[in-house]
Amino acid sequence: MKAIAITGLGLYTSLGCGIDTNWQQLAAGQSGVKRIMRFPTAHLPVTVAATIDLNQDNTSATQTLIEEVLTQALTQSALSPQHIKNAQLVLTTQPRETNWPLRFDVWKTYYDAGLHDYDWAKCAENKHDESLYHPATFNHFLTQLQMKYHLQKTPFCLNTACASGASAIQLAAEQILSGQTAVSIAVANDNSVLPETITRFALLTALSTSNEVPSAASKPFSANRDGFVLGEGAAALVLEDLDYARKRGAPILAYLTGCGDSTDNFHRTRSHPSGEKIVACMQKALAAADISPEHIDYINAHGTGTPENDKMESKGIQLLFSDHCKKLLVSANKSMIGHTLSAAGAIEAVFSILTLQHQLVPPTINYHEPDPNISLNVVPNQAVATEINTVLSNSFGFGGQNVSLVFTRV
Amino acid sequence: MVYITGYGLLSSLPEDPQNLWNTLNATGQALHSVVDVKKFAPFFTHPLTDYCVETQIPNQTDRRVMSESMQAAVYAAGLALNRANLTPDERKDTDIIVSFSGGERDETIDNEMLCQYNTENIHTPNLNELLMTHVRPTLFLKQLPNLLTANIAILHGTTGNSLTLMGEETAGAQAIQIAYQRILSGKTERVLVGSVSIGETRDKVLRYATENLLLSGKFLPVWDRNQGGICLGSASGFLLLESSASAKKRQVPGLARFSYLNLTNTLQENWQPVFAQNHHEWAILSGLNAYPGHVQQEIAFWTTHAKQEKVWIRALSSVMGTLLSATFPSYLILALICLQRQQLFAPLPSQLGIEQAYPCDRTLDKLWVHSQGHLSGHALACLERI
Repeated sequence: MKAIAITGLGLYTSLGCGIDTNWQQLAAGQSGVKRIMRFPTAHLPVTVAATIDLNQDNTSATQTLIEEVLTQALTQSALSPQHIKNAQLVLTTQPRETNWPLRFDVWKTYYDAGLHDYDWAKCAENKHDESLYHPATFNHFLTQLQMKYHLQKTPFCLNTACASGASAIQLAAEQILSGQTAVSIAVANDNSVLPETITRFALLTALSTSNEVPSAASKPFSANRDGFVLGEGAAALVLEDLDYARKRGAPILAYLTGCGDSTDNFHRTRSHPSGEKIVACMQKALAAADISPEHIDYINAHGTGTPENDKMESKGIQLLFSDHCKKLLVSANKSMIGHTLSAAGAIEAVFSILTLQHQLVPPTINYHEPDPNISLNVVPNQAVATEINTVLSNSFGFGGQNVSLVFTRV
Repeated sequence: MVYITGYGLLSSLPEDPQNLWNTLNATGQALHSVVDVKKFAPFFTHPLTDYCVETQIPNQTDRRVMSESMQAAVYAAGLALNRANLTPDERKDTDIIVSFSGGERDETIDNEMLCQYNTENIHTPNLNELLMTHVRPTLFLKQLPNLLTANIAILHGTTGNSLTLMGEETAGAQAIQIAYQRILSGKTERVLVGSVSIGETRDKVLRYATENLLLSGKFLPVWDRNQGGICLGSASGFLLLESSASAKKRQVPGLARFSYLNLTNTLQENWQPVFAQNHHEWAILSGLNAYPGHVQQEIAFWTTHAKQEKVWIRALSSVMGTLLSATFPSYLILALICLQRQQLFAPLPSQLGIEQAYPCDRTLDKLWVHSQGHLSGHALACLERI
C-alpha cells in the first residue's frame, strides 16, 4: 500500500496525560497498575487495574478522554480548521450501556412510588430524564463530537473488541487510500473498569488475580502469567495522504506502511491452535508494506499476559520469523498500562511510533520467570536503546478479529 | 459497478418475499396487524416474525451463547449467502461489515438482580455480590458487539475482513457506504453487510421511554404523529454486495445495482445533488421516524418539492417501526423486492394522503432509499433494475 503520514499523536493512560509523560514513564518501566479505589471491590476476584481516576461519571470521563487526546493530536499536526473540517474521524470506544447505579436509581424511583410489582415499562413511564438514553446512544454522542470539532463528515464508530484501536487506524487509512479523504483521525478510548466488566472477564478466566502487589500483576510472556489486568486509556493519531502532508509542510512523525488483518473463526474466545490466523495477519501486514520478515526490528506485541494469548502469539511469531527471532525484539506495553481493550491497538500504535522516534524499545516488566516455551527476546524489565527502523504492532480480539500494523521511521 | 446478489430479511412482516409483498400491499387496511400493543403497554412495538432458527443455526450449543439479535442476524446473513449461491471457498474471502447498537443484556439476570435489590438491599445494594452470584460467562458472549460478526464467521465461514460499526441509523448506512466504497475501489469483490435491531427489549424501551421518544396512547401512521413518538421495531437485514465482475465470473445474477449512494448531515444536503440531476419523478422509501420535529420537517420538505416533482413516497416505519441500525439495510432489501416486481407497493395509510399510488401502467425501474438518524445523519441510495 502507499505509505501514509502520521502527523499528530495524543495519549492518555494510567501513566499520565500527554505524549512526553507517557513515554518517560513507559521507557523507565513504570507500572500504571494500582489498587482500585473508584468503587468498592469487596466480593470481586480482582482488586487491581490500570485506571484513570478523573472523579467524573463513566460517560463524562469517556468524553474527557476522547477530547483530550483529540486536541493533543490536532495541535501537534498543526492542521488548519479547513483541513479538520474535511477530515474523517474514525472512533472506537467501549460499548455504551446503562450502568448499574443508574439502573438501581430508576428502579428505586419506581419502588419508592409504591409500585412494587415489577413492571419495566411502567417504570419507564414514571421517570423522565435524559440520564438513560444519552449515555447509551451513539447518535447523540457522535453528533456532539462532530459539532464540537466542526466536522463535515459523520464520524465512524467501530468495535472489533481488543483489536478496535488497530481497526480504527486501519479504517482511517482505508479512507485515505480509497480517496475519500486526505486526512483522517483515528481516536480510541476505553474507560470501562467497572464492577460488571471485572465480573464478565473474570468469569471467562481472562483476568489476573495476582492482587497482592498491583504493579506486579501484569506479567506477559512470563511462566507465571495468570491473565490480563484491565486498563483505561485513550489515544489519537492523525493520518494523512503522504503527498498532502508534504505539500502543507506537516511534521511527519512516522509512516504507516502496512495494515493486515485476519478473521479467526475457530472458536468464540480462542484462536486456531495452529496459529495460522495469527501468522496470516502479520504476513498480510508485511505484504502490504512490501517487506519480508527480516525487515522487522521490533514487535509491539498484543501480549496480554493471558496464558492462551501469549502462547499463541509467540507461536505465531516463531512460525513466521523463524531464525530472525534471534535478532527480533518483542515487548508488551500491557505489562505497564494493562489491557486497555478498545483503546489498546491505538495506544500501542502510538508507543510504536514513539519507539521509532526515540530509538528506544520499551521493556516487558515483571519478567522474572521466563516461560521455557517462549524463546523470544521480550526486552525484560529494562528498555533497550538500539536502531529501530520498522515496527510491527499486533492486536488480537476476542471473537477472532486480528489486526497488525507496520510503522516505519521517517 | 456494485450489485446486490443476495439478501435475507427478518422483520415484523413475513419472511417470504411474496408474502411480504402481499402483506405490504394489504396493510393499508390493517396497520394494527403488525403492532404489539400489549407487551410494552402503553408503548407499541413491532415484534420480529417467527422464523425457523434451526435451519441456519442447527446446534443448541451455538444458540445458547447467542442473544436473540445475534441469532436473527446469523439467520438473515445465512439467507443472503445462500441466495447469492456462495461456495465455501468464496465465503472465505468475503468481507463482513455489520452495524449494531450494542449487545443484548440478559433480562432474566437483570430482573433477578433488581428484585433482590428490591427485597433485601433497598438502600445499600451490594452490586459486586449480586454480579458475582448472578452473571454467567454466556452473558458476556451475548453482549460483546463484535461477537455478532464472530458468530456469522463461525457458522457461515465468512472470514474476510470483519468490521462492526457501532450506532443507530447512521451506522447502518455507514456500513453500506464502506462496503460500497470497498467494492468500487477494487479493495474487495464481495461484502456481506447488514444489521439487526430488536426493539422488544426492556432496556431499549426504557431508554427511549425516559427520553420521551415513544408513541403512547393511540397508534397512528408515522405521517400523522405530529407530536412525535416512535414505535420500536425489529429487523435483521443482510445483503451480499458484489462487484459486477465478480457476479459475472461466478455466473450469478445481480438482483439490483446501486446507481447512487451519499451520506450527508441534513435532508436538504441529501437531496440537493440529486435534484440537480434534472429528474422529476421519484419513487422513495423514506427513512422517516417520528423523532421530535422530523415529521413536520419531512412533510414541509416534500410539500415544497412535490410542486415541481412527481413523488411516490412510502414511510415504512408506519408498518415496521423504528429499526435503528437495521433501517438502511432492511429498506434496501425492500426496495429490491419492489424492483423485482417492477411495482411500488400500495400507499400506507395516513390522514394526510401524502403517499400516492404508483400508476399501475408504469414499471418501476429505480427506487430511492433514505434513512435518517435522530439528531443527525441522512443517507440516500438509488437502486436500479439490472
